[in-house]
Amino acid sequence: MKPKILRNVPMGKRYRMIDFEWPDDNAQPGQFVMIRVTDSVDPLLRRPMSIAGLANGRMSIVCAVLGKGTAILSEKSEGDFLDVTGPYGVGFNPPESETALLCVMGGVGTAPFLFLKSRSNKKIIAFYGAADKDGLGIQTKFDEMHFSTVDGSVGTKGLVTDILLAHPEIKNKNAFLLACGPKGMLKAVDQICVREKIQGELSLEERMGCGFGVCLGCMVETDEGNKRVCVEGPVFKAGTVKW
Amino acid sequence: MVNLKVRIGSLELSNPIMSASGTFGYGLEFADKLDLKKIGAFVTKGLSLKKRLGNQMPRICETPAGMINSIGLENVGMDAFETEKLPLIHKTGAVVMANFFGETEEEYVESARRLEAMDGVHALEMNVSCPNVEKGGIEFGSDPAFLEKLTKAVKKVVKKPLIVKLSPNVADIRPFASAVENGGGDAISAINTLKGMSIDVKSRTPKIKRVFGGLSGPAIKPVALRMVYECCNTVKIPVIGIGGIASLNDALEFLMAGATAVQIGTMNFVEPEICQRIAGELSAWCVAEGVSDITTVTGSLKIA
Repeated sequence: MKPKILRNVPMGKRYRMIDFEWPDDNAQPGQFVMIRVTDSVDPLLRRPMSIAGLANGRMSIVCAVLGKGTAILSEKSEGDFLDVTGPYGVGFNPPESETALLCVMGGVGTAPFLFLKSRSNKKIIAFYGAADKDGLGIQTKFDEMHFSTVDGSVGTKGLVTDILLAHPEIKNKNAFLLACGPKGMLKAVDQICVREKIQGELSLEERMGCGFGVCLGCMVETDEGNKRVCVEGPVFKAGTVKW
Repeated sequence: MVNLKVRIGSLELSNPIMSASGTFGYGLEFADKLDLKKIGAFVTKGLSLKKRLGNQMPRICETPAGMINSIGLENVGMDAFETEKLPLIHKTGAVVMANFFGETEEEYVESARRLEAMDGVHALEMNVSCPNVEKGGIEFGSDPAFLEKLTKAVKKVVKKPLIVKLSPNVADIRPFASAVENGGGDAISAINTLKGMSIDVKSRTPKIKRVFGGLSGPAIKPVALRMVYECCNTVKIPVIGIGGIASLNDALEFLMAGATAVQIGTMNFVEPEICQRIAGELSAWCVAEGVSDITTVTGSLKIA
């Protein structure tokens, strides 16, 4: 699909929120799209982008400038056209019965939770960690917000897992945890889930060549064998990934 | 009415545009993205007798106008291909070329025997050139005498067309093309990926876990075109051109250099319907150029 960009605005200092036309209401929180940023062959591959919102014919993504492709994407203007395929992958699937969700996010990993918030009536307790103040780009308020930064410039000084462990809900065996962020964070969160016997789901990020299961570049080892992050994921049950 | 039909051994393809192994899964992943009957053929992920898991991550990275992969021939294995994939592939009406490899001559022969016996596999493409595994045929692909012997041994057990896919990671590809022809191979496909490397400067680590991987994509097209041209000038059997094709123009270059057909690889990741698009554009180009038979384009390069 070649949707028109409707808005491209800064989200904190390090991210952009980009909205574009999307006629279908066909995505779940945790799913992603693949974006081609140029018609030329350099950069060549599409970029996987978690869906940060979808409503009223408009899809949103959060873009962090990490390289050439995301730099081009971040400089697109309202009215420009994108080349978007998807949605792809399996999204979050928290059980119906849970009322509160512990959502652990790092850096650009807020994106699926912004979408989740718009689709869910559950209470969302957000734990948001980054290296520093500029790494926290969030504007939407969740029901409860807890911040951590490695340099201590905002919130608790330390890692997001520190503020997660300090929260009383972590002792609630009926809590359900969702996480999205860098690999190190996900691994630490996964270990907490296993240790505290909390059910949860992790949204993994891997380099992707295609996004639909053919290049086999984004494999992850699980206790059920090798899985493709783009097809069987990006969301995996806590306690199943072999780090 | 344009005739786009081309012949690879005893197999007639409706047009010369195919997908390349390792970029098209088992075809099924593309069934909702294009009409598999509208492309000449598709080539499966490389198959081995037993299922393989491939290399450790990270095993892909992007490079200027290309990418490096070090997947390591991960595949479902011959049994699962036959029982789980092939019946579904058959329903799509696609022409199927099964890519296969082994670690020994016996494994190659046994794999070929299996594929020969499978209804719904129309041709075999033998991989002797994967740069990403210790033993995945690369030793066969780096010695013409070995390659000729292997081709002969495999050809003995197959009646279906046998295509041999050559490695570009040799000083001169021509003796290898001759080895396939002398061994009785029905066609050559070239090129596989070029051995390459990329470094993350910030962490001072290789971007591919195994350090080296295979470079593909538009970046390799001029090298691929040269090697395909060399093969075409060396052998009489058909040559299938592969390497960085991203447009109709690219495909035409390979045909004019002498290729009978082409395979599109990495671009399937970026534009999943590209094979069908280029097949359509090729037909339109023939009409516009007054070409009634695509085989007249093959080898039509004019050198003053």
